[in-house]
Parts: sequence; structure tokens; C-alpha cells
Amino acid sequence: MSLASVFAGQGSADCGPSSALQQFSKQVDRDRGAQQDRFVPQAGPSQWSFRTTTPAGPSTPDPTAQHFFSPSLPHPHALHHHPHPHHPPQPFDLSSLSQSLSPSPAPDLAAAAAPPAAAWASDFLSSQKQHAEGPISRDEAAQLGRIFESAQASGFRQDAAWAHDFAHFASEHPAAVRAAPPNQLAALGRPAFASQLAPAGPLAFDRAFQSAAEAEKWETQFASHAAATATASTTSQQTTTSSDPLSRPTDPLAQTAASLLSSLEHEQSTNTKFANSAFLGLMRRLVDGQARVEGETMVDPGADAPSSAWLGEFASVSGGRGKGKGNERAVDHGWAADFAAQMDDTQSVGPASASLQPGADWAAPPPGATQLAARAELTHAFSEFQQFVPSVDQLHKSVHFPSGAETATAVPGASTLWEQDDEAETVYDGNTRGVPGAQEAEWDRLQEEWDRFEATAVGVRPVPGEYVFAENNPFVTTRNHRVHSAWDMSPSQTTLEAEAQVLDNPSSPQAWFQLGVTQQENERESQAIAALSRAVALDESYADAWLALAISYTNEMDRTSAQSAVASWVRTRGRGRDADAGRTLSAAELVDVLVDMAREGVQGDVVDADVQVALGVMFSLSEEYGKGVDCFRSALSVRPEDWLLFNRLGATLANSGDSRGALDYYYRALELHPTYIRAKFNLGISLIHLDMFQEAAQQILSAISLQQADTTPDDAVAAPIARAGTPDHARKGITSASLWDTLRSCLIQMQRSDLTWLCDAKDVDAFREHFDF
Amino acid sequence: MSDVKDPAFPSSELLSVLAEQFSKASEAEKKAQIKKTNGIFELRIKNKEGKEGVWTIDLKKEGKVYKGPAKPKADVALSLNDATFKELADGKLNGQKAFMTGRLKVKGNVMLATKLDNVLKQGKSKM
Repeated sequence: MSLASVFAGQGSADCGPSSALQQFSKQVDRDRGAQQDRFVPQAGPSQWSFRTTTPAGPSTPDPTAQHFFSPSLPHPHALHHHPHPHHPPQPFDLSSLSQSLSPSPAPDLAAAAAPPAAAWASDFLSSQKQHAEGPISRDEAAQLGRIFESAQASGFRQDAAWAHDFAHFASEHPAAVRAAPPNQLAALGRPAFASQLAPAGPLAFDRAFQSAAEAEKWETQFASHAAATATASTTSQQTTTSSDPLSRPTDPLAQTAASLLSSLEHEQSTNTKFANSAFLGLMRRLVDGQARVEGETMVDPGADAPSSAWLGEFASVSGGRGKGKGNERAVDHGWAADFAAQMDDTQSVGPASASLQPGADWAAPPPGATQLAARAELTHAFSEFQQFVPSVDQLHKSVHFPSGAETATAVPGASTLWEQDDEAETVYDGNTRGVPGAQEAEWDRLQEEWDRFEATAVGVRPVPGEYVFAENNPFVTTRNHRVHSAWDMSPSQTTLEAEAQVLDNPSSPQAWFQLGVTQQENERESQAIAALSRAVALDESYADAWLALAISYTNEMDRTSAQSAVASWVRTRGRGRDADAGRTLSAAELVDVLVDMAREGVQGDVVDADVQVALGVMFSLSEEYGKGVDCFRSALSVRPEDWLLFNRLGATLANSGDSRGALDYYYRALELHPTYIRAKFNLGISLIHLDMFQEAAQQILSAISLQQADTTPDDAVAAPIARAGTPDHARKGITSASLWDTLRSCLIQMQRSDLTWLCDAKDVDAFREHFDF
Repeated sequence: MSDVKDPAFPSSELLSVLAEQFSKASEAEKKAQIKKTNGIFELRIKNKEGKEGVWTIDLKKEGKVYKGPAKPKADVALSLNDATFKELADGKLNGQKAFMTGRLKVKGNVMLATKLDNVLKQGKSKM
């Protein structure tokens, strides 16, 4: 428990912004006794993990324990060291605690919490006395204890409050702050530990606490007390998730792990294999702070080598072969399903939720802010877990749980599992047989899995390589709608209609193309890319689809893909097939080819709009927006009614910085196509740049409501409810995160930060009372 | 921003562009960006000779880019080499791929690192 171990490369490896208080609490976290039930479960996830927390009364004859529970009895050691005229009530003063304490189950628990917490203060005093440096008076220590308790009660959230309190305290009692044995100052040399809030205070406080912690008396007392009441615990597995106010995990990952454990306690009791699974073990260790995420590996802070026992376990599992191991993996996969199901069940708020496609998509971001962070962290932990266990779904890309499984409990999920398991095993075994190739294959698989993920502001979410269709699409069932041509080129086609046509003609590239373009208009880029990719997969010479793909990739800032799409488009025109066509054309060469093509058109007094568009895309990629604008203008001269072109021109202008000029083009595009969501979105962005926030918010909100309206009646109701089987952003009526992000930014800039929580909740209708759209 | 550039590191050019963008952004915009991202990113870039340069993107306190380690502690430190950074900025390589192949190492709050992607994409109009 030396101070050095605290700092050994881990000070900066916290998850989340670390403060001195977090550091401090981590110190305290480590030193935990077996019994936890005695202490007040403060508000927070750790509270859930306790079932029958009626503590056994102070029945032990241990004088220390008695001291803990009966304030009237004098502390055996305290009196010994510095007899005080009267046993001060301050360490056991409950008034401050009860004031700051949120509604807590039992007042006697509160009483119980106060003495142990403050008892250390008195012991700290006693040990402090042994140091020559100016001792902190009992009052000061008690005050420290009180401040600490109030900080605990407020959930460690108000770092500033604590620091402020402490700064206040520090100013009042400089002696206390200075008190520290000199040998610890060296260990504290690392500036990283200095809190940004109160440079001197927390540092000294930690020093002080450190000296107390190292005092054996305190530890043995605590341990003995802990051992004495250890039998009170009924849930042996969950005692590691502590509710000790001193040791409640503040590390978000640990908190998440704690919440996960608590939500799975039901599962644990019914499924012992699950309970003993390594994943849960990891979760517990996360809670305990024994395992921590550092960079890309799990680190056991206690261990010397990076690999912890858990890692070793998984190394053995992944290296293993044979039916025996297969069972374990089956269980692992089973628990993944269970877990996903559990997550669904426990989630009570918000439209988005985990899907039952384990291992790949359950990390879909939920709306709640706390859940958000939790999911993000958990996703990370899980993805690490995946690194070591190639789970079944990694072998089977197409493992989809049927949507009926959304209410699945362990049993239905497991039944589908077991069938696939044999297949999975053989595939897995086949892969590991050829040893040199195995590693490569595994990396490729992992790479593919990662490719499917896309980072967003709220964490990692999957990008569908496959297009995901809406369910209950009314256009599909009513066949009489599509009597005429297989692809309806009507201007304002909704996504549903487009999807219906694709479902009707799954091998028609035109249908896929229409779907892709519609999704582009509706500002659902990833869906558009999926659809357009299918179109070109069906027909490599489909020029329009390549061009549309290039535009989507440009929007996603994926230069390589955009460039290759343009190159493919060029090839469909019969150009770009040089002698050394094997190599991909560079950007400059592509532009040259395109310019040549354009010139040829001019000679015939015909401007080829598509060539201009392709050129425009190339210039946007290279950020030569001025030239891009010219290209789109000339394209428009040929097609004056093409709202897509108006939007593209506007966007190019806006990206080049001319927001004002872009406005006109957006308005024009909207005149031609009033439900052009993308144009509204772009309009919003430009208005923000022009500081016209009110209008901008209106436009964005209108875009969002249009997106939501583009849905089936079922989905309009079902959207807020957790849905399994499909990634949430691919579902109908689900809005793009980018719109909400931009809206939030707009709200902040217009000084309406009070409404940003609505953005998190993705509640459009709530905005109607504030904005007119 | 001349102090951001460093001739030994070609990727510092990109960082100076980013720095300019930040300085040009309005106060309100900066505040919005800070509120959204709320993190301090430290970029440790190694060039071909093996020298390591450190830059900080502060999107928590002030909203600027400067050369040198983070003044208040960084929330996440990204270690990568020059070529990787260039490719990331170009869009040729995306963050996840870089991470998975080991060209990008992250220490600290990993989720925050993914937000950096968004920062670069911010405010782009869609064609």
C-alpha cells in the first residue's frame, strides 16, 4: 500500500477525468474488509447489490467493535494515547451526516457508518501523535472526517465542493495540512497527483491519510472488526461489490461493473456456470479495482506482469480445443445472450437499447446520460473480452437472433445457441489447426469486427455492412401500390416505399440505388452506403450508384473510398483503363482524366453534368472548394431542377466558409423538395455559423421530426421501446446522431443549455413548446 | 500558430491548421465544443528519426491546441507516429483500424479518444 504503487504508471491511466478525490478513494477502495453490509449503502449502484442488509447488531465482545458501535464507550487506543477530558462527540456526531445524507434505509446504519468512518480519524490522530510533526488536533481530524462524510454522502460528485471544503479547512488549519513525515514528500513528488482544484490541500490530505493507513493499528482494528461481522453477509458473491461508503467505486468502469453485477444477480443465482464465468469475475475485479483497463489491455494493478489470472484463463480457453472447451464457449455465448436480455429488461428509459445480437451490436448507445457512460465503458471492457475469446458470433457473421427473441430469457436464447454451437466449434477448430494461418485469420476476423464499428460521440456503435430493413413495412404488404414500374422515380419517395421496392426486387440494382439515394436525402449516411454498396455489387457498371457512393464517402471523410468510387465511376465511362490499369489512379490523375472528359463535352457544346459532379467531389476531397463550386454550378446549368445539386453546391460553399452564400441554395433545394432532410440539416449548420441560432434550431428540429415521421405507425410507437435484433440507428424513424449533436451545440450557443438534456433523451416533441417547427 | 509547428514533424502542420480553426471559432462555438467533448487530449507523435513530440488539444478548459504536454493533466494520451497521424487526418485510416493494428496506442480514457474523431468532423455540411 505504498504511495509509490499508487503512482507507478497508473496515475494517468484512470478511466475518466481523475481528480484528487478519485485517487484518494482508490486508495481507500483497495483496503477493504470482507464484510460490507454494515455500512450505509449510499445512493448508487452498489446499493442494489444488497438484499437483506439488516446488520447483525454489535454483538461482538471485541472492544474495538464496541467502540465502533457505541459512541459512549471510550476508544481504547485513543484514551491510551492522549487522554481527553471528555470523549468528544464530534467523531460520532451524526448531525452533519444526517443532514447531508440522502434518504437512507435505516438510521442505525447511518450511525454505524459514522463511527467507523470517523473512527479512523481518531486513530489517525493517535498515530499522528507518534510523528514528530505538528499533530492535528482531534477537532481538526474530526472536521476532516465530517467533511469526508459529507463528501461521501453527496456521492463523490461534487469534487469542487469537497475541495472547497478542504481548502477552507486547510486555510483554517495550516498545521494539519503541513503535517506529514518528510519521507513521504519524496514519493509525492509527482506533479501528476496535484489536483487542479486545490494544489496543496488534497495532496497533504493524502499524505496524512497515507500515514494513517500505514499505521497498523487502524488496519488490524478494521480487519478484526470486519472479520467479526463477516458472517452477516448473505450474498457471498456480491460482497465484493462494496457499499462501504469509504470504498464505493467512483471509477466509472468499476461503477459500471458494479451495476452490471447487481443487475445480473438474478442471473447469477439461477445459472451457476454464468455466475462463475470469467466475465463476471472480471466484473467483480473491476469493481474491486483489482483489474483496470489501461490502454488496450486489462491490468491487474496488484500483479507485476500485465497478464492477470483472468487473462491466463482466457488464453487457455482460446488456445483450447475439443468439446470440453466448446461447452465453456457455449456458456459464454449463452451468457452474452442472457446479458443482453438482462440489459434489455433492466433498461427502463429511452428509445434506444441493446440488441440481442451479442458481441456485435449490443453496445448501441442508450439515451440516458449515466447509462451512456456505463455502456461505453462496458463496451470497451467487452471488446477487450472479445479480444481473447473469439466468440461464436465472430465466427458466424450472420448470427442474428430473430426479433421474437427480444423478450428472450436464458432459455430461448440458449436453444438457438446450442444448435449453432457445433458448427461453430468445427469452424473454430478448423481455424486453429493450421497454426500459422490461425493468428492471421483471427486478426482478420477481429479487424472485420472492428470495421463494423463506428465511433460516435457517445461511444462505439456498429455500422451495418448489411442493410437493415424496417419491420412491418406497410408498403410491402399492400402489393397493389406498385403496379407500375419496378422502380418508382417519384421525387419524394419515402424510405419505406424505397425499401418495399427493394424487397420486391432484391436483385435490382436500380431499386437499391433508389433506396441509397433516398437514405442520403434523409440524412442516414451509413444506411445509404450500405444500400449503394449493394447496388454496385449487383452491377459494377452502374455509374450513378458509384457517384452517389463517392458523395457518401466524402461526407464521411473517407478519402480512399471516395476516390476509389470516383475511379470506378470513371471506369464505367470507359475511361481510366490505362495500360497499367492495375494500379489505382492517384487523385491528381483522376482529376486530369475528369477534366479531359469535361473538355470533350464542352467541345460538343454539352456539359456533362455527371462529369462535373465527379469533379466537384474530387475537389471537395482535396478541399479546393472554389473549384468544386464552379463544377457544381456548371452542372446546375444543365439540370436546373435538381435539388440534389442545389444542396451539393450549398454544402460546398458552406464547407469553404461561405455560409451566407450557401443559404440561398439550400432554400432553393427546399423549394423543390420540401421534405429534403439533408438540406434542412445543412441549412441548420450554416445558420449556426451565422449566429442565427433560433432559426437554426427550428430547421434542425424540423429535420429531426421529418426523420421520425418517416416511419411505420408501429414504429412510431415502438421506437422508444427497447428493440432487439436491429441496431437502433438503422431502424425506421430513428434519427441520426449528428442531428442531435448539432442541435445540442446550437442550444448551448444560444444559452439554452437547460434544454440539452432533451437532446440526450431524443425527445423532439418536448421541443415543440420552445420552438416553432 | 507558429509555436505549434515543428519542422521535424510534418504532422504538426495539420495541428497548426487545427489550432487556427479553434482560434477562429467564436467564443460560443468554443464553449459548445468544450461542453460536448470535455476532454484534454495529448498527442505523442514520433517522427522518423525517433524523436517524440508532444502536443495537446485542450477541449476542456480553453479550447486550444498547443505544443507541449498537457498543463492540467491530460485525460487521454495517444501515441502514434507521424505517418499514422497523417493518414488519420487524411481520412485514409480510421481510428479503430489504427488502434487494432497497433499503430495507435491509447492511454487513459479510451472513449474520449473516439470523440476526437468527431471533433475533426465537426460542422461539415453534407453534400
